[in-house]
Amino acid sequence: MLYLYAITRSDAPPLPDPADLAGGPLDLLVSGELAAVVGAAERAPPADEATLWRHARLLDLLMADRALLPARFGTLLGEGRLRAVLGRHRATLLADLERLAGCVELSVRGLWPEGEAEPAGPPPPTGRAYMAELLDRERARRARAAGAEAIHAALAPLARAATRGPARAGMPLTAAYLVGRDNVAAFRAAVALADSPGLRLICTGPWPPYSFVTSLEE
Amino acid sequence: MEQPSLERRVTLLDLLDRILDKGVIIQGDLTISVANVDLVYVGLKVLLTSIERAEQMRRLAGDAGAPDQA
Repeated sequence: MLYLYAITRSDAPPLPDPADLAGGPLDLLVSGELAAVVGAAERAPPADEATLWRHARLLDLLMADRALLPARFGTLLGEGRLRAVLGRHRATLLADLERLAGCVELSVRGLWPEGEAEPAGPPPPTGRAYMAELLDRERARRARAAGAEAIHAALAPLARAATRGPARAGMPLTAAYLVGRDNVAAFRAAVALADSPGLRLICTGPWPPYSFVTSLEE
Repeated sequence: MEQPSLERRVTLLDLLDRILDKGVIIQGDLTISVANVDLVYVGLKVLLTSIERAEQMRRLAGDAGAPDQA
């Protein structure tokens, strides 16, 4: 069985030496202009934190000098199946590699500041206090939601592409931005400037362009 | 008690949201068991919310005059 890390162009630079990151040598399975970066594996790796980070560091190493489409963690398949996927989706995969070349993904989350986390407990039981508390909570929630919208509206035009994730409790902004590798520092500086009262912004990355890969229709 | 910083926790959440849910997804594959993934996720969500809540309670306790190490 093959463990799939990423899909690249077959004319990408030679594979780096992953040291101990991959748990074994990496291999390229070439199919025309496409190549899959794979390792040999009999079973999928455990989904523990250390393994996930090792996988992430390996992809960091790979994306340093090539355009790639990261595979979802834990993708284990036979060679025939992988060749069939590369063949059937060749046009989509090549177009994605072209569109995403030279780009990385940055994540921006807007959180309620620590210590001001969205209240989760039941409001006071009595009528007046209950109404006042509900009103306060709703006002605070709406103010932060509006702040999150404004921040995303300001950041999206600075990126080549942008996508929003679902809001979570205490986290009104979850967004990903596709940014040219040369623009990462400038984009981070923009995030620092975009800070909004009542929201703490945390920018992470660069990540491989996970959020901007076209989903494959079977 | 040593708690990972908010940045670290968010970075881990960003990692999970990406490598477990996004990228090239080949349908019908033999992939890691969903139970495992869910466990990592559930553990992290509990971590995120419980630490935020613990922080909140700690501050409230601090305001009430309890000793505060931080």
